[in-house]
Amino acid sequence: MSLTTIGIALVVYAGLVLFLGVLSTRRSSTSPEEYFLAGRKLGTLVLFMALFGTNATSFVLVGVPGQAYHDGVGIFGLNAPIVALCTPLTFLIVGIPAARMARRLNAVTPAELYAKRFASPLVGMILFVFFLAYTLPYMVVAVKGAAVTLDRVTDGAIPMAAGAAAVITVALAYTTVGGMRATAWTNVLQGSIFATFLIVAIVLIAHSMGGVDVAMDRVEAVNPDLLRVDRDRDIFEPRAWTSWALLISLTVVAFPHMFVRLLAAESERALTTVCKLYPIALAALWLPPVLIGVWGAAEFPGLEGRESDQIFAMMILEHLPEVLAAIGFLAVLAAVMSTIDAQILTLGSMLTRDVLDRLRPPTGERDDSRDIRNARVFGVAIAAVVLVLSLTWGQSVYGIASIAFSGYVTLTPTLYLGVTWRRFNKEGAIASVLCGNVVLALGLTGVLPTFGFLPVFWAWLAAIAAAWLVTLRTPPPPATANFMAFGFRKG
Amino acid sequence: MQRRIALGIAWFGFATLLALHIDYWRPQRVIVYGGVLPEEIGYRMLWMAGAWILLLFVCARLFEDRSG
Repeated sequence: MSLTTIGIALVVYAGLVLFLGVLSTRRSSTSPEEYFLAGRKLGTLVLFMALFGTNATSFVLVGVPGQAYHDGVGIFGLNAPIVALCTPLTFLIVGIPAARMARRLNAVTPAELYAKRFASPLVGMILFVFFLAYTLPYMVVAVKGAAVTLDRVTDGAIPMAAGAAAVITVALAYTTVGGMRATAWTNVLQGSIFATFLIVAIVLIAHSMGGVDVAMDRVEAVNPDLLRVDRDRDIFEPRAWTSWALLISLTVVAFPHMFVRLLAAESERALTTVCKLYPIALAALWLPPVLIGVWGAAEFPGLEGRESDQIFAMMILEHLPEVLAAIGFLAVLAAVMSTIDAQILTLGSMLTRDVLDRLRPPTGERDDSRDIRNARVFGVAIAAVVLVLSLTWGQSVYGIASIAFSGYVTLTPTLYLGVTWRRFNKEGAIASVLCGNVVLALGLTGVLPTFGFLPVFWAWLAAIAAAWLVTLRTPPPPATANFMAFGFRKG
Repeated sequence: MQRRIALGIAWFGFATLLALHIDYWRPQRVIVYGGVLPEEIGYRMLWMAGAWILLLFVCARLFEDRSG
C-alpha cells in the first residue's frame, strides 16, 4: 500500500477523532465526575459503542486471526460463545450493583468505589496496584497490534516504533483534552469503522478467493484439522478449554476501563439494553477475524509462531483494493485507540484519586481542577511507559493478553462480593486479591503444579476461598459503612 | 411468573449452556455444511443463539430498573 494512501487515511482519521475530542471539551472539564464519567450520562447507543469499542482490541483483530491461523476454527468456539453469554451477565450481576453503589458513595473510579465500600483506602490502593499491573500489558498488546499492522501495510516504511508512537500520541491527545465524553464519542466513530469494515472485508475476501466454498476447500486441502477442534492440541485439551472459558468469560468485567464505563451508564435500562445487543455484536466481531486467520493459513502457509500476527494485514493487502485496505488499517487503529484511550483515562483517574490524593496531607476542600490536571499528566506518563514496553516485549499479542486476562480474573471475587455481600469485609477483600495473585504467579512460573488446568483456574478458586474464609473469621464491616454502601436492607 | 421460578429457569439455562460449551462428548469431524459452514462454527452459532435467548429472558424477568 502506498505511503500517500496511508498518510491520507491517517490524517483524516486523526482529524476526526481529535475534532470529536475538542467538541467534548465543552462540558468535560467542569468536574471530576464530568471528566472521568461523562456526568454518568452515557445513553444506550454511546454506552454500547463505548463498551463494544473498548472490548474490541488488537487482541481480536490481530491476535485472534494469528491464533486461528495455527489452531483453526476452534478459536471461535474457545472464545466467542462464552464471552457473548458471560460478559453481559457479569455486566448485569456486577455492573448494575456497582453503579448503584458508586452513585451512593459518589465514587468515580473502581478502586475508589471499593475503598469507600470497605472504608479502607488500603483496599483501594491494592486494587489500583493490580489494575495497573494487568492493564499495562493489555495496553502493550493493543499498541503492538497496531504497530505490527502499520509496519506490515507500509512494507516496513513506517517502523514499529514510529507506528506505536503515533497511535499513542493521537489517543492521548483527545483523551487528555476531552475525558470520558471524548473517549465515548470517539468510540462510536471507531466502533462503526471496524464493525463495518469487518463485515465488508469478510465478504470481499471471500469473493476474491472465489467464494466461501472455494476458500473452505482450500483450507481443507492444506490442513483439514483447521476446520475442527483438534483436542490433541494443548489449547483445546479439555482442562485447558474449561479454564480458558473461565478466564475469558470473567475477565472483561474486571477491566478497570470497562468497569468504569458501567459506572457511567445513564440508567440501568441503558445497561440492560446493551446486554441484550452484546451477543449479536460479539458474533459479528469474532467470526470474521477467525475466518480471515483460517483462510490465511491456506493462502500463506508456513508462518511460524508470532509471525502469524501479521496475517490480518497480509490478507487485506492481498484481497482488498488499496482504499479499502487503508480503511482496514484504520479499523485496527480504531480498535486499538478505542481501548487505550479508556485505559489511559482510567489509570490516570485512579492514580490521581486513589493514590496521589491519599498520599497528600488532608487540607479540607478537594481541588477538582487539580485532580483533572494531575490525571492528564499521569496519562502522559502512562502512555510513555506503554510505548517503551510495546517496543521491548517480545511475546505474541495472544500470549501477553493471556497473562493480563488471567490477572484480572483473580480480582473478580472481590469485585462481585464487594457489591453484593454485606458481610464481606476489607480483610476478606485483601486476602482474596493477594492469595489469588500469589497462586497465579506460582502457577505461571511453574512452581505450583496445575494438573493440566491453566494457572488462572487455581488462582480464581484460591481468591474465592480466601475471601470466604477470612471474611467469616474476622469482624463484619462497620454498620455505617455498609449502610452508606448498600442503603437500607430490604425486609 | 414468580421471581424464584424465573431464577430457576435462568440457572437451568445457564448450566445447560455451560455443559454444551464444554462439549468433549461431541465427535470432532471435518464437515462443512453446504461447502461454506464448518460444523464447529455452526454448533457455536447455535449455542450463541441460545445464550442470546437466555440473556433476553434474564433482562426481562430478573432485572428491574431502579435508576428511576
